[in-house]
Amino acid sequence: MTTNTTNKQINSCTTGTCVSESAIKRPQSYRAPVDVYETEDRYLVVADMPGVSLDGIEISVEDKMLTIDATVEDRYLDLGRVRHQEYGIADFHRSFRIGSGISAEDIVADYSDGVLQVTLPKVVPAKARRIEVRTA
Amino acid sequence: MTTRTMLTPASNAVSNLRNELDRLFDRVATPSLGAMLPHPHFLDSMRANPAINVIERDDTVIVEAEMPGVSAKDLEVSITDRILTIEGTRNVELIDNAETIRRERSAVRFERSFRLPEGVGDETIEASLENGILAIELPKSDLCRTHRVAITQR
Repeated sequence: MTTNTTNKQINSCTTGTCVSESAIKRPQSYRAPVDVYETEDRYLVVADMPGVSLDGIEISVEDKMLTIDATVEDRYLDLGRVRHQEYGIADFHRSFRIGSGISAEDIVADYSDGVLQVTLPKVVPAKARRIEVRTA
Repeated sequence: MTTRTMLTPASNAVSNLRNELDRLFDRVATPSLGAMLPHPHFLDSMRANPAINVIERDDTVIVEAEMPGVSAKDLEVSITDRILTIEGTRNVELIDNAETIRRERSAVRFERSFRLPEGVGDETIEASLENGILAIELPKSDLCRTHRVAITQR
């Protein structure tokens, strides 16, 4: 019974409903471009977030919502005068609706070269446990 | 009564550099498409002509570009005849046996070049890549440097 339900969720994940973008957007931040991949046992969210320091990244899962917030400090503030600007500097934000097929407590993330990679492992269906019956 | 002007207008190297920096955008050899759009981040952050920001300091001019997912080995910064060129490749790793659900990041070969104003980049140019940000530091020539004058409050 339990296994069936899980399978159904995994199936619906394949169609993309497990990691789908949420409509909530904040005006004060940039929408980081992302790639989302799905393998047999996990989802992978890869986001371009240049100029973020490691302690400025906050990833949270709440209410079936995966939220990625990255604080970008205004590095020009004490640096000098901006003479020419083609891109802005602001925080990055992105959020996704995730299904219950994701094991929230096992989510891990890695940041290097300005790219954030979030791994969301799928819930492993509980294996049927064989109970040995002993004779008295 | 005639007043003699002791200070002549700054038609020297400093203001020339200022003007040239201000007009940098007009002089770019390969203008950025993203520069015309209000929010470059609504697009893929890596484009064929990367966007740049220019910051002026007392001693240097910094040219900065966002390069997420670009490693130093795939990036080249060069100067030929006062033309500064930033070029390279951004690769997007493929994951084995993975299905792509969403794709907003692209693998791209990029190039951007522009003419350096007089007064910068004659000396050693340094470039660094940190957290996906490329910063090229162009030292100003002695004439164009800003010397801050300390003000004593009495």
